[in-house]
Amino acid sequence: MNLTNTNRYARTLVRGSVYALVALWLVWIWGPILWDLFTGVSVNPQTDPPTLIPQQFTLEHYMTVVQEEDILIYIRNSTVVTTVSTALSVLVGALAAYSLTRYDPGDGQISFFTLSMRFLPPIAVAIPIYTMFIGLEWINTWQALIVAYLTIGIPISTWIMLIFFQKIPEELEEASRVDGWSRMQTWRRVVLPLATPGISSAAILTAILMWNEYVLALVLTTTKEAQTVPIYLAGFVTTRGVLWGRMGAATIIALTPIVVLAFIAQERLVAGFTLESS
Amino acid sequence: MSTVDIFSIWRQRVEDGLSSERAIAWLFVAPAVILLLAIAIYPFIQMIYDSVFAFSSAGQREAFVGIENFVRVLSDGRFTGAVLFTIVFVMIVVSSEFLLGLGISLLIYSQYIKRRQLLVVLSLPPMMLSPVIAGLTWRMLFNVEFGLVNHLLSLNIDWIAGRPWAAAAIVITDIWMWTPLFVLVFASTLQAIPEVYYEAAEIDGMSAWQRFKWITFPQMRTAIVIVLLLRVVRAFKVFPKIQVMTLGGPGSFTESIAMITYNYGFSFFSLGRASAAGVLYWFLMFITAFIIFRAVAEELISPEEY
Repeated sequence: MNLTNTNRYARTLVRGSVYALVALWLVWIWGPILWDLFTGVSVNPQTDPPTLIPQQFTLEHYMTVVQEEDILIYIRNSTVVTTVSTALSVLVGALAAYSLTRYDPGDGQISFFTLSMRFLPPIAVAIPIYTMFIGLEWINTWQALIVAYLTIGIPISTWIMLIFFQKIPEELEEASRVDGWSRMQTWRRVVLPLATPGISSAAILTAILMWNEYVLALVLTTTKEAQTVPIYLAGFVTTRGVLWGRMGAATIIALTPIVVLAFIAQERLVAGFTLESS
Repeated sequence: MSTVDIFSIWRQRVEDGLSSERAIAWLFVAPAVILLLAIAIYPFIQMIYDSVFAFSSAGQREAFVGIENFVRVLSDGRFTGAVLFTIVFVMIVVSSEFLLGLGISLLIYSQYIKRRQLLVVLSLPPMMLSPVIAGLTWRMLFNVEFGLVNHLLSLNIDWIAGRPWAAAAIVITDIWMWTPLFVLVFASTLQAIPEVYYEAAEIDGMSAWQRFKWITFPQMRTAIVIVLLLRVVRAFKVFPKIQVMTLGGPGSFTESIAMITYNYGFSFFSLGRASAAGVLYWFLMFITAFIIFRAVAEELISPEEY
């Protein structure tokens, strides 16, 4: 009797502390993001003592960021570069990954080669690419970033799809070939539908990586004609002092596309991150 | 046996070769391999070549200088300081993220929690953000006067410009950003462990610690090894976060290898030294990855699917 009571108390206590710790974890994760959100709509974000929820709300900072600081131009640049480079990476990566899982030309050497690209530090890629692009007069252009981003995009998209394609049973293709379908028919009706989730996971992850990329854009672009959103954001520290209101507004604008993407394709995103680190 | 026969046999063989699976296989991997050779490997070899030249500030090769760039970089206190800082940074953040991530994922997968998938998804946002955004956000939070951190902890620390504190601020930001990756990977591994194992353990009367030691941990081993390797490689590249938080300061206290390499090229306009630093940087990463690979090779070759 006494023993079961103690047990019950102990269980309640453990349950309570598990809940408390998980709640603390969520506050830790979401606190800084809420801080950005509230800072961006606060009339005076720098107060002593600091308050998370502002006393007066305003959309002034959003207006300034859009109208005076031309954030839309940076967003345009980021969108073009991310879209084109992701599309190319996923196309090239899908072909490579399919071939590597089905036939493995080069007996594992190619997949090792592709994977090892992820060990190259971006700055060690950026410096020689910079000297190469000076010669081509490509500095501060979209195509410079699109091409440079392939060094990140191809390895990661190939890797994700490689792991995914390995899980698609080869027998299905063989069966449809036996049924007399041509290679093209087999691809269109069997391989592609099965591969689509892997392809979209790869695309989402590659796009996020490129949207957030900083080092290559820092080296290869010089003005807002081609600079991307992360370069614009970093400018808050070096050139414009620390304007908290605008900074909050700009960060929220910059992370919205990712949040929307993550929300729409939640399942694919989680699968992508899991495949990437497997 | 006429020559025509030989010719037709030969032609047949070429056609067979072209239509064979193998040719198609090579055709499919070709774009990826050629592109990577052109935009990653070729520039990389170029960088090794550049590292033995002196450059004009406009970026033109001026004179062959042999190993002088390497000597200057290696005898530069800022470079060796950056190497040391980066190595210590990697060790601290990766081990903290690992332990914290393991703890959180075990909490989420404890018997008390119902909506596990939702909690995992809610844990992800920081790792999807640009390091620039993470850096700016925490720079505000760590502000000495108006920052929330000092206020909540009733401290008065100058996190951004103070000597050990600037490093701590960067470490905390990195932990905030990347612990979610460990939570995600460990959660998906925990989910895959068959419930039967735990039922058997219950019958055997195992304690919670024994269950972790003999069931959970062995099942997670491969995932742990891979995610650690991935994180070590990534943490070695730390740069944008530091750029927006402390700019490498105070002094050059929080400068990372990537940052000093960038500074050689674009603040001191010495592409020769930048190339030499880039070669050394890559070499260091390669050695580290090699050591980890060697240490865990058995783990990775295990027949288990990972």
